[in-house]
Amino acid sequence: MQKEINKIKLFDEPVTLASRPGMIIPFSQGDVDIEFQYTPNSVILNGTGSANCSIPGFGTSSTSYQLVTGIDSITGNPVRLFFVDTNTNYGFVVAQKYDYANIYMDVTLSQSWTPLEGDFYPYVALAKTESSWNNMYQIIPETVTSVTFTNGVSYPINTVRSNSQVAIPISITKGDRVAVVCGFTTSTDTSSTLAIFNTNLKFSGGIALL
Amino acid sequence: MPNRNIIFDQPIQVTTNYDLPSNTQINLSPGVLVPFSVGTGDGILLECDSTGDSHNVILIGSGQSSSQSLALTNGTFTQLTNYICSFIMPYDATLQNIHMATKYYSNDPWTPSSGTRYIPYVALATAIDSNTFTILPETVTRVNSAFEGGTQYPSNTVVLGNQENLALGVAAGTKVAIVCGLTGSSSSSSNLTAAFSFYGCLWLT
Repeated sequence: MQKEINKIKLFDEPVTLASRPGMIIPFSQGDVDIEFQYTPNSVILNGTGSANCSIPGFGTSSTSYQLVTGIDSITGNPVRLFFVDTNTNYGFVVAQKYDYANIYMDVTLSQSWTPLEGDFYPYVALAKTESSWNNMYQIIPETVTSVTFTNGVSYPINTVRSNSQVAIPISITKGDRVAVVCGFTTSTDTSSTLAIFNTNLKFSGGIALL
Repeated sequence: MPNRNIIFDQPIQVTTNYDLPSNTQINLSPGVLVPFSVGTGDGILLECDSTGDSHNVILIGSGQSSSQSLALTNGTFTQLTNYICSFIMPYDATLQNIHMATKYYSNDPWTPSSGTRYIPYVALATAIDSNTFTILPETVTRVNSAFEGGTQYPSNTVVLGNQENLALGVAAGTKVAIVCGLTGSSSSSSNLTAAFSFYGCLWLT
């Protein structure tokens, strides 16, 4: 539904309303290694990749959560979901309504790496709970922000790849539970050679909610 | 970036005693807070030499720290790739205030040796697409009151430090690390080493 922008009739000329965020979410993985798993016919939409994801904190990270496919109850489109158990829940509750997100992310290699199973696209995204009464989170597709590690290229340790998206329209309301998620997709089906990918990827970044 | 839609739940009254020019920016958000705390029971072991030069820093997250110290060289350090504890600024921010608190790590009383002064600090360091950071000198926020040699500090003595109205721009996409370190002095020309806990908050607009 299109909302109407209220006019402020204080001045003869229009004024510019500064777009400053209401909150930012700093995140970094700390020293937690995430064991990304790959399964054939993965639940990853629009490509193949990790069948799980993790939630970074600020200097630490959750363990990994299995991704499953679901249907968005509003749009009817397939979406990626994951269930967060109560052991390492790094989600949080937002206290205001937000309409836009800026996502800045990067990935540092903690080991040298030459991808030989296709291109890899580590991503960061924003997720929110499907309902107020369970811990099933839904990745907001528009927020998926990724970097590329190209097949056959040798990347030295401490390689940093970064990317960003700004002013992504989102709909997060007061009381929603939100989490940052990390995972990766791949250009080709790597299931035959990559059952478990003990990652050397370290994620960090920041998300602004406006 | 699109402007936010503004919906007022209640009538608002605005009083101005002069005309604002057109295209005046009205800042609707009070800004954002970044809380930080080291979250370790053992404290953070820091070192400086007798001239007060800080030898190492440790990165602070939220309830976490990088735990391993990082050597300082002319105000720069390189984050370890196996312990990433920085974040990326997600908008064109202006750093306004830094508030920090620190305490000696032990729960026992502490009496620093005579002739020494311990001055822990918190600061921000930045990097662009790299893990080699440079401390921003204007952000170095020391405790307001040093730990003085020969003085007995009761257990859990907390010392505060703050800087306000820094008005320091931090561009979107800048990697930011919150660091803690130690400066000080010693009449014996020996290096100082002590462990402290740190916590605090950044206020950005």
